[in-house]
Amino acid sequence: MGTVQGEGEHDKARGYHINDNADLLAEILARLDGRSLAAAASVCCLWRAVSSKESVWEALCNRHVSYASNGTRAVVAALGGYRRLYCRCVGPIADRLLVTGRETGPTAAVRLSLSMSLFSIDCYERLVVGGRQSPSSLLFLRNTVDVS
Amino acid sequence: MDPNFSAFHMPLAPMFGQSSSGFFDTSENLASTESSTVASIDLSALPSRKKPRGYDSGNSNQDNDCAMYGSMKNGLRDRKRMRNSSFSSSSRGGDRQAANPVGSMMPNSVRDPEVSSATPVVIIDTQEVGIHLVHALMACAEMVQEENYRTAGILVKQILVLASSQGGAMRKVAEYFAEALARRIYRLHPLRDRSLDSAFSDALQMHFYESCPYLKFAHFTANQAILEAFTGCRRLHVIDFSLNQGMQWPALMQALALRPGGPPSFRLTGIGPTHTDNTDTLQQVGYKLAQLAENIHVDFEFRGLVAGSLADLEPYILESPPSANEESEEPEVVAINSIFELHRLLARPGDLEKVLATVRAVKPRIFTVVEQESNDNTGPFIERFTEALHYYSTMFDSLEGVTSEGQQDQVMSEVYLGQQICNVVACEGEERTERHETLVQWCGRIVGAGFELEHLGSNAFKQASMLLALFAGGDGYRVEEKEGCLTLGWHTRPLIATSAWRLAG
Repeated sequence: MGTVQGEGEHDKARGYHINDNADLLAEILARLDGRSLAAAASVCCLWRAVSSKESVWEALCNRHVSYASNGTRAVVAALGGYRRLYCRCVGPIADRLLVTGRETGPTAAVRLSLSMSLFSIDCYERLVVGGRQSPSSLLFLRNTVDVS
Repeated sequence: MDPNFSAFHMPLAPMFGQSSSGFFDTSENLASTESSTVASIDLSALPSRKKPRGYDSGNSNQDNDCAMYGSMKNGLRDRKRMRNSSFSSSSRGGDRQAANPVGSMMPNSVRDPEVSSATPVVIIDTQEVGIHLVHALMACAEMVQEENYRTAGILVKQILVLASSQGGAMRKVAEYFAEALARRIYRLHPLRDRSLDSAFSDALQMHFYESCPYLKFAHFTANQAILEAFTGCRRLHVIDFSLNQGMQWPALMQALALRPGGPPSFRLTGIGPTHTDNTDTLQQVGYKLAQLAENIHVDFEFRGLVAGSLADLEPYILESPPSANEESEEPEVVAINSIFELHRLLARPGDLEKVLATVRAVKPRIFTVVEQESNDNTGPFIERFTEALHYYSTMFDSLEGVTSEGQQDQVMSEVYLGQQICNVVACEGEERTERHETLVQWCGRIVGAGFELEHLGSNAFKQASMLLALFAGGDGYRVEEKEGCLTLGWHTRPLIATSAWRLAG
């Protein structure tokens, strides 16, 4: 007991601890890139809970292309959620196309429709697959590219 | 460029029709190929040829059936001293005839004692062997056209031996073509009972879908044309001439769900082949699509039609039942989608015209057609063979370069293409359903049936380009726009073409 109290006093002496406020933690994690965000899930229980929040992954997806409209949110949720969307589609596409910043204009619209289309195909493959074979229509995104 | 691949581009023009000394004037040809750059095969230089009358007197091989290799061997002897002795040692055991050509191809390795006692050095010039492989394939096809099946049979064995020394796409293509030629020569009919293999064919097509972008390109470009044709409509009906696993439709439904103003109601009629087993794949696929549609809140209705041939369809079967139309004032807008289905109809005269008339009678807003870009429905066998060889070797080349994860997909895709190769080469008449024609030819046929071209928009082009950029090896794929149609090719060769049509007038 004394040790814990000692630590608590020590923290109070330092000031704010990152785990104190989950919403603020979510704001911070939402600014990470995909890999770091996935790694953040293994830090502790709170981080795992916060980093699995859809809003965090939605913010990550929106960093590339705007997925923010209400209709999109409903469809993405129905197809499996922003986390899956990022891990299966948006992330690999961004890696493959070497995109750094946010895209606007017609390219953004094309990227949005392409990633949503691929996501819907992936979701469709997962339906009633029954464990016979793992869905792999997005396998081509995970194949390593020879950059030599 | 992959040296194996470049072999198919060696100019064949100089070798034919000039010398009377033999089948291949290979000494000249080989000399020219040393310095030649990559050039396309000169198809006009392949006339139907006379049988070789005699061959160079230097040929010690007395067997008439090996006449083909007489001058080949001479040409080689002039230029090569150290050759791969493993060729002769790998000659097939009991098959003397096959061994002979191999032995005569590499004369120094067997007959020349000086070389065999020297330290064996293995020098395989795969490019040279690749050229011989192509020559052997063409020669075999020539013999088949002239119905000289005995010589053709020997050539097939030769092809297989040559192919075994190659690697990669070239070996596989040569093996599939050799098998198809063997089937034709030895009349191994029927090739397979198509109806029993429907589940297998579906599985193969899924692997093909996953390993390369051709089907995805077809689906995405067709969907874009359909979406643009359907803007503002509230009741949609799509008729799919070959539903397979329904992989095209989730993307379309998702795009409809995201349409501003909410999703329209969507009806899908999927057509599939007859199955002898009891599984009802059409209904299963329809059920899966319905589940997805329910998840994304798109009003969806599915109907499956089983048809032995598309020509069995009548317009009244495809049209929506009148009761559905009475419910709302909004008329139903129809799209018809045909992916790699129209070419099969060319096997029976009149079928294509009937199907196009049926399509016209249904009055679709848009008719999307995707077909292979190849010209192997010609009369003479040798022309068909050459074109198919070029087409499928390009296809196989584009499949190479896959990581270990995608290996199984690649192998199964090759089997899928191999089935087509077998059909093109070994079948005739109604059995030969893989009859490919070029985009220009299809445009002529479809325009003649009363349609006019609907240009595919820039959105389709951009989406297709971005899709291809995602594929490893993506810089080999090319999307091109050709008078309102889109083609996808590998390097300079277009392989499939998408076009969209509306009723004329």
